[in-house]
Amino acid sequence: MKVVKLYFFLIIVIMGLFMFSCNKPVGKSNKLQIDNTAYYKKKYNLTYVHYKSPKHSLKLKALDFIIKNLPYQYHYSSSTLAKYDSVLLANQNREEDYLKNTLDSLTIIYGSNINLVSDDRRITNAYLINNIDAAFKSWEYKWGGTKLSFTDFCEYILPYKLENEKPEYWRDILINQFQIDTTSVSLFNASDSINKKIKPFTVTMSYDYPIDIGYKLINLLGTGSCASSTKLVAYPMRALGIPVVIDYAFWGNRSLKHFWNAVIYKNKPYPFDALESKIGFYKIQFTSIDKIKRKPPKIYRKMFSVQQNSLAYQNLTKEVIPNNLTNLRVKDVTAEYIPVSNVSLTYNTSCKNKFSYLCTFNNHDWIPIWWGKNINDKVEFKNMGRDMVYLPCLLANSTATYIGNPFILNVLGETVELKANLNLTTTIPINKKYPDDLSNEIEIGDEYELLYWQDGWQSLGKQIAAKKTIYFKNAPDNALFWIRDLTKGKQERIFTYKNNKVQWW
Amino acid sequence: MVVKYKKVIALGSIVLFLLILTGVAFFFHNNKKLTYLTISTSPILKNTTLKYILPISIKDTCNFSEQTRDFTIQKDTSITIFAIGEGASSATSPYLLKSYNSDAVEVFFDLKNQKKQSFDLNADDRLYRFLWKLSIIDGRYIDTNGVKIIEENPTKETYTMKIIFPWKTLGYVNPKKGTKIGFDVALVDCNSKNGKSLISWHSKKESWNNTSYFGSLVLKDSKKIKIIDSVVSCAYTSKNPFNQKISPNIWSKYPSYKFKYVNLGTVKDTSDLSGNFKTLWDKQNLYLLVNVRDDVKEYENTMFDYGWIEDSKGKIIWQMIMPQTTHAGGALKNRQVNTTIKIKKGKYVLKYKTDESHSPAQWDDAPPISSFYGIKIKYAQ
Repeated sequence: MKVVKLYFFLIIVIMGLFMFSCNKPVGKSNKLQIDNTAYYKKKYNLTYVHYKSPKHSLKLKALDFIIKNLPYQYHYSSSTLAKYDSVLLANQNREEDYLKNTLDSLTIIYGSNINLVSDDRRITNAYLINNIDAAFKSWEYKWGGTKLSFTDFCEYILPYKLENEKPEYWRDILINQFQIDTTSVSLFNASDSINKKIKPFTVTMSYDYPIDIGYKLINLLGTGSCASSTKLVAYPMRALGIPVVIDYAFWGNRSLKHFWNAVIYKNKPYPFDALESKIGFYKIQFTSIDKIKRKPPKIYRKMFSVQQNSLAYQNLTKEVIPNNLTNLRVKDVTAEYIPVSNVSLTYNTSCKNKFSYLCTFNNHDWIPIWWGKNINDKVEFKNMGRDMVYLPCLLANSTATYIGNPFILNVLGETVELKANLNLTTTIPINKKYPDDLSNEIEIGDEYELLYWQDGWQSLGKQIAAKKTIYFKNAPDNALFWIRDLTKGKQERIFTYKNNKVQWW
Repeated sequence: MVVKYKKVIALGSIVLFLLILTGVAFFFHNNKKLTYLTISTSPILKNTTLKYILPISIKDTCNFSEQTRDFTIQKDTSITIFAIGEGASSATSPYLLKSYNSDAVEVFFDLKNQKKQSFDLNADDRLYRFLWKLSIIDGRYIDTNGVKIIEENPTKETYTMKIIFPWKTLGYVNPKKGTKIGFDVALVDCNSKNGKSLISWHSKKESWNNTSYFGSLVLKDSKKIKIIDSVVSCAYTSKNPFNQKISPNIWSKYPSYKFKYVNLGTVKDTSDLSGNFKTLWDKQNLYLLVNVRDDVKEYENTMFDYGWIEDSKGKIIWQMIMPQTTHAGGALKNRQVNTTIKIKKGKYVLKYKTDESHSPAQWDDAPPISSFYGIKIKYAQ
């Protein structure tokens, strides 16, 4: 009997192993448990009481919107950075070296003590009421006769902050500072007027405050990233009832990312560069006639509300996900800007991971740019920007596993797999390593390496350039290539070679 | 009981064996390198090729569109083209385009030959800029009255500019033998691949704000000219040297002056940018012949939404270019063109393309006055 029991036990264990290895979808609801709304309702009961009168019914709804989205709203706190702020307040020096060295010195002395603090630790009933009342006052401004819907008002005017900065009082100050004739100015002209009135701010890629900061500190600093500049513009615009958002993209055909502002009008974004341009004079892809067009595979929007379609929200099982996709409050708005396509992959077997990712090449690395939920052996990536090369991947223990071959999603929305054909090879002449400017031409004396993709980057050899054009033999047909300057420089790019022409991607 | 147990054990062993076998197979199956078998995308709408008969139009465009219409011209004729689109220049869209972006010949004058370390606006200093292909003359403190430019493009990589400056327009100079003026000529190359570069005959540094870098031009008689450093010896002519009928080969008698000094950017080699010039004068005009070699000729043509016509080989026979447009009302970037061109018998394609913003589907600034946005062609009256 014991033997029988043992056999049955073994069978059950093996069956169990089967079940796990099959990795079938679990029948749980894919909802993040945001269950502390009730706690916040109780905590801010006085505010609810304040708006209990029927005449405040809309403000009560607005309060509900904030409370519903208050869970997981946090900011940073640091005693070292508080000291840094004191130095900035007392000193007008804004040279990057000075700012960096000061922070380094303070960090050495006081340590790097950045703590995460839930917003409700700072938000009082008085703060909430002040914010809601001031926001409603702003909502009354009818720029050029347009009135914002309540939904857009909640998302784009009502929020007490833009990102993970410490909540502060800002509306009344900025309304007084940026006075505009609200009766005759159109929405676009009003935004342009505010954009012009912003105090000079130096946008730099080499310095930014180490944590998210609010209007007052960004204004005090007067220098930082383009992301900071978008906030510097968005705060006064929202104070004046202009529905402005902060959108951003990682580029699919070059390195870096960019943040810009957009005014939402009739459910469409009208973009502009903070401090530098105005609506109608800004293009996301076009920068100048000297430069290649920037192509965004995805365009994201910072929202106040929790986005149920976000990866972070959907990631119920807490699978490791890419850092750039962990934000609960980021909305995919690609389709509002550019032509998109849904891309589906069918794997050769069921995928153990919950999610797959599409990557674009960031001059040196493949960066996961968007995700799809694996259902058995299929995955769909929605609203992908076209005219780019993508590579699918999975994440395991924070390490990317690249799946199969890269593919082009062309301008028509068709996919073309780049499967290297080693049986058909050619010699490729190369005279530059990047399509953007003169500094990337092949330089005599530099060592170059050409790689192609086949289960990872494979080398086609290295050579020191003796002329302005170098030739690599045995390059496989239909492959994705990457030309590298091993001697110097950072800008490198992937390309395909077809009909004797190099096509940069 | 023992037999029963044996049967159960035997049955169990078989089941276990099968399960292990299946498990091993599954293990290897699951550990096979994951790859994708197929890629697919959402349904794609493709244009169907239709043959159109004039008049035809492309309108109701949205952002990121490119539309085509095939048409046939039965005999050599003329067609009228009307198009509205979005364009920009450094003048209309300073946020987008911050400087001029055309290949050009620049001619510098210090008419009193003072060679100051400044550029005297509202006085005797001039900078004429002749933009390639655009027949546009701009510059600093210039009067273009009577200034003529004849451009020729003998090859894909060369161009010639024949320029006539009336002395009266230049001012200050009483043209006679021995007159000396401050002078320089430069070439601007706006090759978008290599960045902007500028080479000059005499100035070793950018001279747009400093006439002390200029060389000199001395008016001579028509005898044989000697080449002297820093001086352009300008021979007298009694006939218009640009009129081939009355003065063929006249230029070949006189020396040319090369562009030697790179003032801005990088010039890779003589194919990238090089050239020479010659001068002649008479009582009315100063004549300047500039020969340029430039492997990539460019002009400022920043059209974002525009139309064009291609022949059956894909060669562009007409294109809406910014300098030939006029304001179409509304935002300055609304541009229109209304022109008539001669067209030969054959097959053609009318095309219209839009970029990422500003179209009837989503104006981001004031729209044009006309509700039509696109391109239309018809037989000329």
